[in-house]
Amino acid sequence: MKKALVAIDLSEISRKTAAFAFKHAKDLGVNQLDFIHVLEFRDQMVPRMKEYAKGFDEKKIKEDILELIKEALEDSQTASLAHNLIIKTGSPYQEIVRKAEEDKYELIFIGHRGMSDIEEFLLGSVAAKVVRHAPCDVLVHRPKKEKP
Amino acid sequence: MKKALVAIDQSDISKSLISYSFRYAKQIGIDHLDFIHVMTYKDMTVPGYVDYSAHLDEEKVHQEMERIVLEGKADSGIDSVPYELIMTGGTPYAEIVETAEKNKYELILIGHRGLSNLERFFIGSVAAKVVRYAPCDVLVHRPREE
Repeated sequence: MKKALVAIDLSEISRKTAAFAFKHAKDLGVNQLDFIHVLEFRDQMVPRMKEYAKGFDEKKIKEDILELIKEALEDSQTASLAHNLIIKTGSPYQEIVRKAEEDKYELIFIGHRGMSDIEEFLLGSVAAKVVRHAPCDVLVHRPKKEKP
Repeated sequence: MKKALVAIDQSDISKSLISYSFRYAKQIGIDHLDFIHVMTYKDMTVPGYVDYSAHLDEEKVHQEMERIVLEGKADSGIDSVPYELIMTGGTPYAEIVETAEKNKYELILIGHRGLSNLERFFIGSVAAKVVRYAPCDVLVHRPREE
């Protein structure tokens, strides 16, 4: 069985990336998509750097992510295929890479940019870090309309 | 028509990438592949970083790349996807991104270079820079054996 990991947050790019993954999974012979979302806590050293404030509602985030996946599946206009949601806590790129290593995914789908623009400007995107450290193929999705 | 750009050099990963690209194009419905090879001159600031010396024989490199592409195509067993080979010179990531911007590719395929952690820390891989600046999707290929 061939499985792919889809790294998402609540951004518009993530929704498009999830739809893209649903749309192309079958062509690529992928029969299971595991979505991964990494919760990170506010870093006090850099104001506004991380998206979740102290005391954020993990349950609510999980519901929102599930809703995003559902919408993405509708956007993709394809039949559903087996998919799961994995929620982790920590540094996004590390958790994504660790999961890919542990469970031997063939492919990771990720949007070229996530929610935290300021952080990514300073430190490079999560996607770039995943590309450097991933043990497998990585497809970095950049929806057409968006110009660099 | 859907086209993809495949960035290659003479590494083993590129050889794997070429056959992977033909299979991928067939699976996902890409009609044409452009392979791009960027010749770079030695960067004196990072010893051993770049493959070509100042006296590289461009014609020979061109022939070698054509041979590698043909081999990769044969490995893939896919005969139905037309392709071209683009030879250019300069900074690899910049040339790749510029070509992608000019020609409206759906996708760039590139190999993950097996640089050491130390090198990667200082200079970053070409793939990471392409990911950062590309105007389209980028598939970074990393064969499992690596």
